[in-house]
Amino acid sequence: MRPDARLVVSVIAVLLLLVGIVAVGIHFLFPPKDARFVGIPTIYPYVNDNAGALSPGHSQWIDDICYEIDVETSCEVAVLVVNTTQPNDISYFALRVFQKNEIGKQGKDNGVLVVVAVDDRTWKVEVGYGLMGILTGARVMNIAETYLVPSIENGALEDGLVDFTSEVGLILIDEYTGDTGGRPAYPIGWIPLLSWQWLVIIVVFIVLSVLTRGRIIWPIIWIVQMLSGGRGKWGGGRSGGGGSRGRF
Amino acid sequence: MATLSSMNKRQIMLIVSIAAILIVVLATILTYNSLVRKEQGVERTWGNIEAAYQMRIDKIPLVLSAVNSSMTFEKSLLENITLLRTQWLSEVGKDVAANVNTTQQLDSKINALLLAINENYPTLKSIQVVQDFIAIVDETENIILAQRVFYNDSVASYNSAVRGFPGNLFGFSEAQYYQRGQ
Repeated sequence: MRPDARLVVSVIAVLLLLVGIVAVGIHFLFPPKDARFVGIPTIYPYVNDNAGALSPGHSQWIDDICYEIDVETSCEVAVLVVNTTQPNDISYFALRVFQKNEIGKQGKDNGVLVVVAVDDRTWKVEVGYGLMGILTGARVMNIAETYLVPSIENGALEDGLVDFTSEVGLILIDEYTGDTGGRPAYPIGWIPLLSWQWLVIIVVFIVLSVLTRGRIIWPIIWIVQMLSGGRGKWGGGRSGGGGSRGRF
Repeated sequence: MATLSSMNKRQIMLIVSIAAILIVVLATILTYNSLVRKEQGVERTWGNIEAAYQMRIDKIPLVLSAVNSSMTFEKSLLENITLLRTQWLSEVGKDVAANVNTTQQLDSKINALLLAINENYPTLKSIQVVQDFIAIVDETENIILAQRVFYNDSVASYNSAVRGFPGNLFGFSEAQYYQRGQ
């Protein structure tokens, strides 16, 4: 091959490589929107009030209950209040929210999602595969009609959600016999790490600081800040359509 | 070891040809495997609907024999349900496309039966077998709704692979969506 021909081939190869890298980078940085989840919100542990219907005090109260359930049983209970689920039916909406956010621990599928659509006057409780034996459709309907629906009808949605999550929590704490291990789905800043886990972290931190003569400290602080900035993630659970729904 | 500059044209062409053939063979294998995997996904998700639906199917003979003598004006509806049930059982696990069709027809007939009981024969609701059937239909409704969504997701993914290039070269036929309320 002549030198200028080699140059042309090399330039083309480099350009193709660059285009490939840029294309792959764009694909990962800005992944194409999944048509299944258009209009489906991302939610965070544990209470998500997108309708502004809950007072901060009640929101924190429900959050505490859900956190307690998570710590005691590893089951993840999520609460989502929206104005409307339109254009989607509430069952479809709840299923997609559950699927998108993967509520419940991976492999245990022990999540529960409570959705209340204030303007639509509908509610739906989506139950993960792992809890369908405990929280059957009829049982969820009964709990909702006892605790949630009457409160909503009396204009006290937040009290209804407190009572409903408390009742679900008691049932799960009493009856959930699955593995209760697993990290609570909470932001890293609030994870109640075990003492040995803290010990490992401190030892690793000291060793790295000595080895790098302190240069590792700032990057670690930066990473911890980045991780703490989020609001935590759910555990990767799946739902098979268990639960119940209704109107108020 | 021969460097690029010391290779003659024929050697370069040979390497390029072998690489091109390997890429085509690899792409063919990957595309075919992906199609098979997606097809299995369609069958697996349909299996979940079948499992939920089987609970309804099991209850149908008891319900029909309990209401048969009272529902004088719906004889053809009851006969249709019996026929569709037999058809459903003969197709289950064998022919997904036919089974989707039959399930859709059964859905509408079961809905018509429950509506008729509710509106025209409310006294039948006191029969235990009828109560059990209504409870099973309610209990499985949410599960079937969810599994239908997952099944249709699998069908969408599979069909787009079957229609697109190079998937359309393998002769796979498209799967059928599961629509409700027909």
